[in-house]
Amino acid sequence: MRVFVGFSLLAVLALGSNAVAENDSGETKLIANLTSDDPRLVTNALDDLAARPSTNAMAVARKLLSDPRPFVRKKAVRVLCAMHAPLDPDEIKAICRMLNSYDQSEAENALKALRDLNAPETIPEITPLLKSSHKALVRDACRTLAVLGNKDLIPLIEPLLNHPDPGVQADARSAIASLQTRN
Amino acid sequence: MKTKLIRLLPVLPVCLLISGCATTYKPGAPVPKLTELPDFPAGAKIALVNAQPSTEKVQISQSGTGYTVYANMHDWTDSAIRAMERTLKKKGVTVAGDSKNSLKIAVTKGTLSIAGSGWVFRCTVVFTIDTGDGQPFTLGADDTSWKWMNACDGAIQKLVLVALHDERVVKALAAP
Repeated sequence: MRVFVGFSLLAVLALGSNAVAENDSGETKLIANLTSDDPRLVTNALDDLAARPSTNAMAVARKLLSDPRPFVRKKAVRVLCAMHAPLDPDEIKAICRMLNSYDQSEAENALKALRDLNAPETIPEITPLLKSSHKALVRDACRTLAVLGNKDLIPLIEPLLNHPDPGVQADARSAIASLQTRN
Repeated sequence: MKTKLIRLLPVLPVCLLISGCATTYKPGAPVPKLTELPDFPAGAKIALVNAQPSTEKVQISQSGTGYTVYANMHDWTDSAIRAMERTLKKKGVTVAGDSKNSLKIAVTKGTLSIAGSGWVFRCTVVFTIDTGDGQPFTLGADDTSWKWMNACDGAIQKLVLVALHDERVVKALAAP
């Protein structure tokens, strides 16, 4: 009986250590891919991170928010904000820099990501986009402000009720309705 | 024997496709749409300097692209500078070597990879710019196309857009 228990314990320990070793090698591979030169490997690794969150890999992924490669940056912000990853002020600043990108899709991406972060300090960086010539950006700015802001923002959004685009008008109306309930 | 060879014939193009062919590519100098660029002060004058000394041939294609593409980063910087020069001239900025304001540009990395589930190529360029204060900063640009050469040309075009939207570059162009 004792021998049987002993063997069982050994088997459990062996299986456990195997699982830990597999996890470790999985994380090592994930981190290696996150730091790869190939943007495709990096973005696939970001998807893997979203599926299987890991603290060490998350720390590496956070550095990608200021990566010079636009595609990598966009993907990193999308994944990390959807995961509600804890970000430090410099990383939030990196997301705010994306709001000024020449690439409209990068700015839209950053606006959508900011909705997932509890970062009201970014509001002054968002409000200039209410005057953007790109209506998609104006609409996303309304939606983001509706999530992050309070009723003090209503005077800034009100002029958009007369915007020539009905979509912008609708988002402005909905943002004002949300903000009216918040102090 | 003959029938065996005939049977192998359809496999030949596939083998050629898989093995790919090695090319050294220098992208063109395409000018972005002027409406996508900010306005610069009238009378602005700037010198553009190629700050990439390395003429070493480096492989830029990643696995899965099906091609082996090499690039010389000095030449890629040269293309970027030509594209920047053409763009700035169209925006009314004088590009002259004797200007006291300068932009020292160096393309430091190029990457050609596949994107869009393997249907398109993505070319990414990482580059540095020194506006004369001795503190170069790093920027990046990328573009996709179903032709890898177009993706590389597009990345150079995007490089110009990214650089000319950067507030530090705009400041250097506006400096007296």
